[in-house]
Amino acid sequence: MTMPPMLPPQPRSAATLALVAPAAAGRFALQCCKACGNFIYPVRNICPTCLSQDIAVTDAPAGGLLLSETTIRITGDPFFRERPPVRQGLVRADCGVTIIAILHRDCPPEGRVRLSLRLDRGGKPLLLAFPLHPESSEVADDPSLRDLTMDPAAAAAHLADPDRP
Amino acid sequence: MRHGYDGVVVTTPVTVPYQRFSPHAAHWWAGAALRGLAEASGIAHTDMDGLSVASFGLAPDSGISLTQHFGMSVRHLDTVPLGGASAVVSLRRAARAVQAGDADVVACIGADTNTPDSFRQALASFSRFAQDAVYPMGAGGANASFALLTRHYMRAFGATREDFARICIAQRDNALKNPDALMKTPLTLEQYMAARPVADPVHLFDCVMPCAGAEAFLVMREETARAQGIPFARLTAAIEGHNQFPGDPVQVRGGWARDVDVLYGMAGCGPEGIDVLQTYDDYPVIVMMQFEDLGFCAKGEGPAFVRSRDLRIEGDFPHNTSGGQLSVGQAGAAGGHLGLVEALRQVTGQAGARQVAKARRAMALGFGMINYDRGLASGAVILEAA
Repeated sequence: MTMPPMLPPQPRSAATLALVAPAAAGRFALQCCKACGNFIYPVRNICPTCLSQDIAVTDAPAGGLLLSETTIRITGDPFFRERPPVRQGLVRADCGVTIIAILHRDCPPEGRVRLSLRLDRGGKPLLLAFPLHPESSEVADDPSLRDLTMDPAAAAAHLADPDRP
Repeated sequence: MRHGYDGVVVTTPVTVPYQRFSPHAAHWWAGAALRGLAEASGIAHTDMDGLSVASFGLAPDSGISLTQHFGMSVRHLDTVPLGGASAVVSLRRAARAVQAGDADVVACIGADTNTPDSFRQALASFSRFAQDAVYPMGAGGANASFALLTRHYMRAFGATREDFARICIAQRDNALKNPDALMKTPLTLEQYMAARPVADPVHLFDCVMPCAGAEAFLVMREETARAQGIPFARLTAAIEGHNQFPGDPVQVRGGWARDVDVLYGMAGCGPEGIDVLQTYDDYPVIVMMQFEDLGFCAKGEGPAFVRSRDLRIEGDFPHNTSGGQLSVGQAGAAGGHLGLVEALRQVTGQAGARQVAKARRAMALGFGMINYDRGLASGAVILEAA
């Protein structure tokens, strides 16, 4: 009997599934309030600035400032427990929100980074941060990131409907 | 000007000794705490007309289910889902209820159980933001969240691991006088520094050990305590604050900083008037922030403060005299009750081998709920000897 491949933690709010489509397309997009123009993250059902509920996922500037970082060496999660330590950082995105992202191995301990929205191996949104130098830094050159993400081009089918998760 | 808590007292410190793992439900631990309250106060649980409970592990139940589970008929009922701030908030609400006459005797209980997988489950589903935007990014739990805050604090204010070690080592020394503490052996600087990294710069001895346990106390009016003939402490001041300072890019202060002047104003003293301090110590960095936010030193002076003071029971700044969560263990949502119950013991002269000489005024703090990138809930109370 073949064991099915273990998936990363899967539960997400229905609203967060709105980030799946841009993640699959390789776009860095987040919720943005159509009334006041502020970006919103983590995903909400209402804008915390003006309480409008007219919110749309919109392409966002990908720059950010890495404020702090850690390397998670011990976890009780069955998926991450079998993998090498994950570098995680707290990023102040240029679009105004704070993002907890998985860091590419070449990210400096602080300073500017480039944010990216990807799919994890379960097809759910994952936030990554890349170094500015070299500009060409990609998932492919960090074995850890390669192992954590999924390229939708290789998937036979990928469907998600945030209104009917 | 806030109304004081005139006439409100806190009695009957109860600890149900902790266990690393337990086969029993959180209800079992809460029930044992309730029995402890009844035995120590002489007030039957059926005569208590208020119940306030904090627990991560009661699902699908909440406080209402416990009234029937425990055979209580109450006029004041509260389920406080605020993690490490629950004890302070329970006490604040109960105090106003008994002060106004809505209830006479409120049992405040923090209780949780711990099974080998319950902690992971709690982390995975802690909050919606955690589920969406934190846990999937490496499943580091609170260790990783506090690692981010700790690294930033170290850079911003020059704190070193040796500074955090001072807090942890002093608390371990205190814990050796507490038979209920899960940690039974001294902690040396060498052991602290050599401990395995958990989420850099957080290492093993910066982390609390999840466990099963319960803590509890009673809130009533002074005449009730006198009629019952039980020792009591006066509640002289209390504050709470949630999601304060949301504009700070990284958390360097808790909600205490906003209302610290109100706290001392109500108590009629300043930081120098506090004889014994019980901070919320799930990680040493947050202890250092509390020293600053409650005015024992200025912001950023936490490292210098711990280098210059002796934090042990017999020291010049008695702190977390039970050993705190770092050495006693963290019984889930009872973590904040640990310090409050110890503060009550200290000012009522019931701390035994851990008694601080001339402890007349104690402060107990609560902190909790890393909803996303920071702890949202904070609270503080000051108890004074009668």
